[in-house]
Amino acid sequence: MPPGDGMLTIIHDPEDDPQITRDALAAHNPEHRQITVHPTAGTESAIVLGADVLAALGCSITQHTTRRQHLGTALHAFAAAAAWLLVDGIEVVIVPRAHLLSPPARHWLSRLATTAHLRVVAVWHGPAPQHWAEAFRHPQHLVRETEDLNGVLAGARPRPPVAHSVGEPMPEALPTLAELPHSGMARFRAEAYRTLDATQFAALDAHYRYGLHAACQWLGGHELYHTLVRTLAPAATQRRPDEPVCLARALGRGRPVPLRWSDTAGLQAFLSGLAVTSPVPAALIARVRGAQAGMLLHGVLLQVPLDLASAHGPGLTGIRVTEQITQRIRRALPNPRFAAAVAVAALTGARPSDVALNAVAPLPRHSSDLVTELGGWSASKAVYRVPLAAEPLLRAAAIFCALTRDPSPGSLFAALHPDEVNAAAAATGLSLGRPWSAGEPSHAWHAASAAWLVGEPLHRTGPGTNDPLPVAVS
Amino acid sequence: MGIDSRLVVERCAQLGITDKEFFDATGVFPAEMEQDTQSGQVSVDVLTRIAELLHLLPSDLIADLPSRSALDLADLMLVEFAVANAPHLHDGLRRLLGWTPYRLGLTLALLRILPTSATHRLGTMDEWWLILEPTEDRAHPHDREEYATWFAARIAPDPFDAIALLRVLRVWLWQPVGLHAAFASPALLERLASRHLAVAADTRARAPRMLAENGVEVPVQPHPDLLFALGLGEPPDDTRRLYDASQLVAVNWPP
Repeated sequence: MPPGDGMLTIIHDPEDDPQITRDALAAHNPEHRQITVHPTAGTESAIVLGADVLAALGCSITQHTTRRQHLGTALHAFAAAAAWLLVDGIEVVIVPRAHLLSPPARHWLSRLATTAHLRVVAVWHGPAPQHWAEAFRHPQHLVRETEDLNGVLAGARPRPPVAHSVGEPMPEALPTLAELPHSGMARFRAEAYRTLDATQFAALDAHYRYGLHAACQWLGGHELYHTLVRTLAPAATQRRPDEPVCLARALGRGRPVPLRWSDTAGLQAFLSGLAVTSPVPAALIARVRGAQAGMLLHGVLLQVPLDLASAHGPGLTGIRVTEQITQRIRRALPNPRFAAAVAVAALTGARPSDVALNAVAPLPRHSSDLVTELGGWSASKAVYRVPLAAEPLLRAAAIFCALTRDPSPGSLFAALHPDEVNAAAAATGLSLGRPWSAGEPSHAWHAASAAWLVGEPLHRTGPGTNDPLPVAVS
Repeated sequence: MGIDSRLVVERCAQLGITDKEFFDATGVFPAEMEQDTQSGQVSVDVLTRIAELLHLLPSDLIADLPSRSALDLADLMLVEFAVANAPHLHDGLRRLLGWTPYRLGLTLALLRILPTSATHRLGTMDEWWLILEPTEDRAHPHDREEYATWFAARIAPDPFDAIALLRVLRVWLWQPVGLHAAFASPALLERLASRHLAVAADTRARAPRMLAENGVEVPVQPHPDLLFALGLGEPPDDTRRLYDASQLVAVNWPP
């Protein structure tokens, strides 16, 4: 049977062989999808065993955090553990000294195996009970007894490596927000060229080119774009190349454009996607200006808030959620719901307390686009592209809600109080962006953006086409 | 002060707007407009609606604005808004308008001491600025977001600017030698130039008679900064940084 099958494997060691204990402890390797739990001695509490599993997963958990983060019941503690185990792809959980566990703790261990679709390897040093299945209240056909621990652990599969982006210029070379040109797209690059030194301009321009090419690629692969452009084709052929162009006539009646870009959700996902790998706000602003230029080359006007540097939202007031940030959040916040709430605050640039006050839907099954009321324009919802590193937190939160039978499954954080989320954010020690004053708009910059098809493309993507600005950031 | 009714009639003809459509959009008939404005009291709302309909700036419509390019009407309205409601916007406002701190400070000081119920002309050392008193709703908007959006729409390129700009770019890409050109009215060129999208073209091409008779007579070409932004032009000349960015409107590029 493959690992991850809900099996309960008993390693019966009545002689208490120290080598087996050493092997069990040495087998802890989350990167190879297996962990070893150290059950706290001297307690019969199932909650404590749940906390032990969370500790084995790298969470910092104490009585205080258990209480503050609503993990004070066995259901919640094991639901949190199961959620993390599932998103981490853990396939084997090894539990030494299982003979010391209380019957309720053993039962929860059994439930963990079936819920998280993993194999629990219980090392039992005492005399065997009459029926292993009864002792753990585990289905008989899923119980197996052996003495060969190493045989059970053989075949552990490493997790796939995390994809890292390479070739990005160091954030240190980028200008600060104060040094950045505050012009719109038409002047931004030229102003940067005039006012920044060569190193700063090169660093900023790399992000500008990144945005330009991202826009070209996004539009080039968008069905709506090609559909809209096809509607313009007949008009294009009616004009002689040497005919003088009267701009007033182009704006007059009967013109085929402007056509409003109707895929608002797609546009928001694309724009917030520019922030996913943006190291600092200045880089994001350069990317957005580049995207505006790229879209204009394709006959699309991208309108963004005028003063981006003062706006808020992903990449501006938010922080880049990297693997390190995710680990930091997880370490401080064992409850997946709190961890996800803080991650959402980080990636959206919203205040942590606002995360609890707005509906945030679970991530769709095959998408990394988060739909939420946070930062929505005129009471509508906003879409955020979720960084790869933050996805496990959101998926774990959804699993946790399902396992604890949350009454509001459509909104991940409805059960949280704003103050609790604030406290959770403080516990991570992350500096979650610039707070904004009450007079500032509540919508995020990308949700207040719009696009229009305004003419035929000047530039076409594809092999052999003329590339105006070769990309420098991978 | 009065509305440039000749320009209004011209633009209506260019855009094919009938009197009824004009009335529906603005609440006034073109014929009435001149009488209404002779008193010197212009409703900013009406002025704004007309400007929106005709794709012009409100300041384009003022016949006797002393220094038309010195300041947008929309800029002034934002300044008033900043004074009344949003002191935290001052720095952003200064950057938006490309003003020095001195110029912003002077304007704010003058606005604070002026009575708020009349049309004013302000004089400074080197230029005249026209101040129009906004209506109550504009001066004290309850919804700042709406006002900020409204203002952004006034100075950022709108879809109609972009339509014109794409035409300019297409002609420029097809005819880089300058034998043919896109032609615009002076008002449209000024609007595009104020957004750093286009400048008067350095070309000997002359507008065909039909266009010239309709006031569509200025050959235009893309702004060099814009060409650089799109990867279609060379880096701009460093010496241009010596110019106040707002002066570029008046510069015939290349010199």
